[in-house]
Amino acid sequence: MGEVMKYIICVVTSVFLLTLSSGCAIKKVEAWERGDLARTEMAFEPDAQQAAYRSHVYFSKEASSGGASAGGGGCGCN
Amino acid sequence: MAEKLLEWHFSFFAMGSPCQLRIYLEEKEEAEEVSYRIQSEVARLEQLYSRYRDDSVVTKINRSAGKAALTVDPETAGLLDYAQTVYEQSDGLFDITSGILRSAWDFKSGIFPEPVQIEKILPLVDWSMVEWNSPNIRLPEIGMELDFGGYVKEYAVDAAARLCGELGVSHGMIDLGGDIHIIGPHPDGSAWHVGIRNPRSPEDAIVSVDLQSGAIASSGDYERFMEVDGKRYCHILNPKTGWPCEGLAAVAVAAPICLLAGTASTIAMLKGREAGPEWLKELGLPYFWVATDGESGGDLV
Amino acid sequence: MSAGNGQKKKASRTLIALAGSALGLPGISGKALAVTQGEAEVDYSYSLYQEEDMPREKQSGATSDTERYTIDTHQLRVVRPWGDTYDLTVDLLYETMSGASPWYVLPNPDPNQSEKPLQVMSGASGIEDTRKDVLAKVRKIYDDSAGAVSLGYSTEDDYTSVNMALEGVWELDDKQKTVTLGIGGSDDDIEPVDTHRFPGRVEHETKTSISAYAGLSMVIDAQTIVQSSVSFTRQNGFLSDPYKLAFVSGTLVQDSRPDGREQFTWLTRLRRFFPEWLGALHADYRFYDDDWGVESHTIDLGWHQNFSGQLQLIPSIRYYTQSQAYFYAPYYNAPRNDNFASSDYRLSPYGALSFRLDAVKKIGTWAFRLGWEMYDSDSDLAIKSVKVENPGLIEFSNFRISISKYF
Repeated sequence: MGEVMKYIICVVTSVFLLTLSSGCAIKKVEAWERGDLARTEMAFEPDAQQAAYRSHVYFSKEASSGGASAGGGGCGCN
Repeated sequence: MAEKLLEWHFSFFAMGSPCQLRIYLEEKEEAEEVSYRIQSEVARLEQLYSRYRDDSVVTKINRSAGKAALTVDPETAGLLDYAQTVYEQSDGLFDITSGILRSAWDFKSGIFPEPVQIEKILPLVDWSMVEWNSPNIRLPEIGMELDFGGYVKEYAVDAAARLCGELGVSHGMIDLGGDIHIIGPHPDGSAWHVGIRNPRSPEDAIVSVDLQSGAIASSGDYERFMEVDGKRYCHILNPKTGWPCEGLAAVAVAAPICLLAGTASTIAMLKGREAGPEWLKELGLPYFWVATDGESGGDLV
Repeated sequence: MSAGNGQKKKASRTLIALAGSALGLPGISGKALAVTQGEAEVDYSYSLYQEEDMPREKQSGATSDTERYTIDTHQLRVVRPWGDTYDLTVDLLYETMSGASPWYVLPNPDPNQSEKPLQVMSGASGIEDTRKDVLAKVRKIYDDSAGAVSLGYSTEDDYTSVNMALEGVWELDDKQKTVTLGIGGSDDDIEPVDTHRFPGRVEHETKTSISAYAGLSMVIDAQTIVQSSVSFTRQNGFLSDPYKLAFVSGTLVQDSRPDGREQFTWLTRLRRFFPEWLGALHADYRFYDDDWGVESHTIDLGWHQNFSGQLQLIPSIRYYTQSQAYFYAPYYNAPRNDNFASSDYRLSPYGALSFRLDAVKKIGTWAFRLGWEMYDSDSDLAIKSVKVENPGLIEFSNFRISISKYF
């Protein structure tokens, strides 16, 4: 479990740094100005089912995997 | 892609006012579907929040005055939270418990209520007495009443505009009795021309404004009033005195959402000739006011 | 006269208070950006994945082209709110796969064609398998945060995976920023089929995987939002392909890879809405690196164009490029000192281009989607120039249809 702790610490540190580095110079967008951002096509994954399928296809045909989520299992894809 | 868009115009009557929906779409069937959905949404809100209807949420709350607390749905809770905020931000001038004062005022008669009548009602008017712990509400005194009439029409305009967006309308506007929300500019990108009623001649515009987006609402002494000795007494009643507001004849405010515009204009009317325009200036939204003496000001136009 | 849009005024405290409260109303905000409870929905989709045939001339001793993989996938998703602060998502998947798959690679007997090794495909009967996957996720929503637990189970004739993940989302700075943290793990069992026919094949192996990720998304302006996340994964156990072989100086050996792998990804995603076009740009970039020497870059660009009548067309393009695993070779003239050997095209140096077109049509509370994708991989698209291309590189097309009902 020492390995896990190492990774968790890594990740928490990265987030902390990202948060710090982004603390400046971005104009505040008031809540009522966020109509465009709330549109469905502005979601990071507008179609979650398709996104899950697609990432599984790429994961099983390419050497790379991983992105903005954890979890999901492997497969015996050949 | 906007080459075949046609303008569709629907007029209907809802929430006690003439309303209109103007939208750009390709097909008549689509436009009728949108119009139907919009009118259903407005009717839904009217049914939920009209104090004239037996089955409305408001009637249920009012009937339970002096009894046990009532649990309300999330939408009603949102409106009550808003009422709380507006009450605080207006120093108690915008108060949804003040509707009951209207029972003392008969604007058709042209006669002032007896001072004793108002004195009997005033103890029942004060939002801070209401026990509001979302989602539970209790009106502690028998006779207390809530009235959402001061802002539910504006809320309905916003809800209708949002629904239009969800239904794929990107160009159009909705107008519920003068409370207007622009869904999007005309297909060529040009703004909507919106007139603001002249309080002394409500069929005419005193000024007009070009709006690309957002909403506009106005309040005035022209909706329901009586004149006594040449002085106008309107339906916007001050919850602290029980008497109509004074000094301003009309206020219009533009805002990203109509609910904000409507409450801001009502609060300004209640604040009166001096404090009203000053408060609007502080607020930070484009505004326009006309006083009963004919003077006007503001940065909206 | 105009409404003085040019002179942007400063919002007062009063205005912020009023607007904040107004935005809590469902009629005004609809689905907010923020963590909100999921609304009930049911989605079904069918996908048909089809690889191009393996041409005869790329194979050793084949008399005709060989049919590669075809996968039929059915997916069902159900989302439902549960009480006032929970929501539940269940994903079911059922897929059947059939076709031949690359088995091993032989050097070309023609010395003038040494840069073109030949593929041997798995037996004529090919592979037939089904995969069933279930994933359940429960989310608890708080004022400015949410926490989720998910549990998944996936099973094939020769493979079982149990996995679990925890995720937390926090909104900061008036919902201007969102931080996401997650950890997950999986425990997999591999029990290859036909071990009696192939004596070298392992009988039962296991592998585990632990991953953690962290992301930050930020509202940049009223039309732009960006998310950046990093993730680490550590895999342990049997990471080889039990069905594949490698040609090592004249003999065939089992595919053999290290029993540990550490993977790192950095993913940045941009969404920008263009009101004048009524369209949204999606731009994603992913950097990947692992301790097997694989490095990859992925760029995915999409344009979501709205048309009147609730119609959306989404063309997109994806470019992927990777370097090879350090122990990979199409074939080996001598065994490696570490005895690793793999000729899997997935570990070879290559790149891929894919084009997609999706259409979404909404009618009332229903949504219909059609999607099509063309994917082609080639060693010319690799990070560095490649002398010997793996003959097993794939080309596939994917057709997808789905229907959603919202409540």
